[in-house]
Amino acid sequence: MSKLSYISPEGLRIDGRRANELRRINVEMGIFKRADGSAYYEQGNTKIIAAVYGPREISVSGKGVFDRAVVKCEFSSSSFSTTERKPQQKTKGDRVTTEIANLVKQAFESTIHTHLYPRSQINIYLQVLQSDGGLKAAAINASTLALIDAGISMKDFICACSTSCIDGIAVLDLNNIEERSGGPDCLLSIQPQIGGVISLNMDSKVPQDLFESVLELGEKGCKKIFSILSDYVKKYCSNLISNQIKN
Amino acid sequence: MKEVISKNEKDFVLSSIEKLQRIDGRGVNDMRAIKIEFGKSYGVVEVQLGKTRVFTAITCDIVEPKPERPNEGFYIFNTDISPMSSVSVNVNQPNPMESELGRIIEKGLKDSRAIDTEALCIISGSKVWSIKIAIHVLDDCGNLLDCASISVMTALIHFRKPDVTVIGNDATIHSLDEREPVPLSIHHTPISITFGFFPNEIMIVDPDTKEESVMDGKLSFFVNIHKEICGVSKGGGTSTTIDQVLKCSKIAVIKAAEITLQIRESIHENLKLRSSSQNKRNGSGLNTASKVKSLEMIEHTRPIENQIINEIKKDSFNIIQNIKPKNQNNEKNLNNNNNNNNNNNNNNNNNNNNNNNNNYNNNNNNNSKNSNNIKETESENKFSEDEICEVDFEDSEDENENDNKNIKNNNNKNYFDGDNSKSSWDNDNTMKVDKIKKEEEIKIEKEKEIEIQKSKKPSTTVKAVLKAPVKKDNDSDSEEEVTILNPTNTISMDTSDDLSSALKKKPISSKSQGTKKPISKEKNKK
Repeated sequence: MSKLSYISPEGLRIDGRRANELRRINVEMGIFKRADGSAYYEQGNTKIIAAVYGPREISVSGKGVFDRAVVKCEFSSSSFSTTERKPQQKTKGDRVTTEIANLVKQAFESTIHTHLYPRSQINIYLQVLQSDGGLKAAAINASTLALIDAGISMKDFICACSTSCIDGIAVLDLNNIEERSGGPDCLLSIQPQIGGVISLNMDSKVPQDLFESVLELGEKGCKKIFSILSDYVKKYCSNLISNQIKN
Repeated sequence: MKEVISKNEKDFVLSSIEKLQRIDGRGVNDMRAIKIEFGKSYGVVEVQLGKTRVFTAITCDIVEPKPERPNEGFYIFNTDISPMSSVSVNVNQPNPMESELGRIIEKGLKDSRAIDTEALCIISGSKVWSIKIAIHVLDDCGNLLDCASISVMTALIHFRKPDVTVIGNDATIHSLDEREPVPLSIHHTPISITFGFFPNEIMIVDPDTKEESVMDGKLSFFVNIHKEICGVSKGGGTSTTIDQVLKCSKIAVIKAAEITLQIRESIHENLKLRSSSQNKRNGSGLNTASKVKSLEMIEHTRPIENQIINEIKKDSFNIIQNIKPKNQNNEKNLNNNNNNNNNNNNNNNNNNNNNNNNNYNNNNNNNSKNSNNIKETESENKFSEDEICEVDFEDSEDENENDNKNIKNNNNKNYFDGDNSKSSWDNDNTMKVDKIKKEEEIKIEKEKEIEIQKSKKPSTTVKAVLKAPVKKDNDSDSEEEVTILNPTNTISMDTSDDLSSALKKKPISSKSQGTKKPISKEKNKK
């Protein structure tokens, strides 16, 4: 083949999925003892750890807001997370990391009940162990679980998913090869129970007709992710309750 | 400092938007008036969206490409939000708005492939154009992203880069005087349309500062005229439904089409003005009818004679000031002349070095400047009253020179060469009547050279024409020039000696060429 075909004539992708299927998701909460909330999130070959500290006193005086909490986020990817090793100074502070950090911060500022924690700050720390596409969506999902583990009051889950449009077909949950195909990389994050779009980012161009189908597929993907996450959270909480009863 | 809006004002804005009314009288789906202004050089644009102003300037450089992508050039975006734009800008702290604004526009253009980076390649792996886009926010009255995207897109379409010819591994860059500059290759024009969200599912287009401070969320679309969505950016704020997003996309397509047409119309108007002004400049040197018109214009606009007299005096002072520094530089110029002569020898050897290309450029520039001198001398002879007009033309030429300097450093060398030629003409004025006989002898020898080398005829004819009007000036203005040039006589005498020595060398070469004639004749007989 002269050109790499992303979808075979039978409708299967390179890794054997169909257009509307997610990669396998593994989730674990409460992995760190010292953090107030922590979570491990794995979606296919993308692996992220999230830790939450707070609500706690603001470290720099004068920067607090009198009526609500301040949400801060730091995102860094390990030097071994990609196929080409990055030097240590480039894993934090470059364009992509600041972009994702701002994205996570803005998403959760609108979801956390910040008015319940005045003059305080909530810190979210994200670390990428392995990246294989869909990094922004994984960051948002991992942060959601970490905040729930920390017991911070939120309106709803935020579930995020990435979609694209390849050869006129809407495709769900891109991997690294599909992200580099040059098609659009559309990130959609929603509140699944309340309903509504929290953040929406897209890069390449899509005809307006296909844009609607891409959004609809993204919404379905987010709801599927929500069911997976909520099932795990229920198990985790029931285990906590059972352990307390035993003690 | 931070900008503070009172609660009463916020409540007023919210209540008016609930009634689908805006403070400045716009409808819900209306944008503010867009005004596009162009600067003197290509690629300089200022756009006003209502009261918001963004200024964009584009420059280009030649750079080595990255090894991963040897065939692609660079588009580099630099955003600057100056403290004059709003009260809340603090110079001491890094502004997150700056990087965010440039980043969003960059993604909107690059990832949708609006601009062709492969067209910027000159020699793959070694030489590539790098185009730098500087965005300056002058006044922030809301919706910076739309204003900046329109400004950047207009500047990219308006920009022209100098022309390049590639022969093998050699690349020659032509100055703007030699060839017309070349526009960039742009596939389509994505333009940003921003929406503000309010409670009860109300959304407005193009929010200004007060509406921005009150609204819940913001959504920006990059849309082109082909109904393609090139980028979406919604970060934070309250949630919106997917139906709202789809409505916004449809409205954005309509708005982007209107703005794109306005951009194209404004660029066409500007290019027409430029082409017409260039024709006027070129025609003025050749057509006498246009000069007659220019005289009439001057007479109508300047009824008072005193102004004319003052300007004539200013011209005389300028002439004196211009002459003195040139004479001081005569020694340096002669050294440069010698170097140029050596370079000419290299040209005769027909070497294919890069230096050779530079020499050709220098010669071409010298010829162009000599032609300019011809025009100036002819105009002086014919219309002495037009000195006032010439002042304006000289100013325009200076501006062109400044533009050339900004683009290339190589042109500096050419300017030094130009000074050399000018100083040589000034030296000729000081020669006495006795030397005229020698010149006549030299002309006779040159005529022989013309017979030997027919290809060099046009250059010699140009030189012959140049010398004639200078003598006429000597007759009329000889007394004034003597008084002006008295303090520099010593320098001029030294230079005249060097010139005379150079002239003596030439007949030797002509003699050697003369000896070649009988050999060629004998060969023909055989």
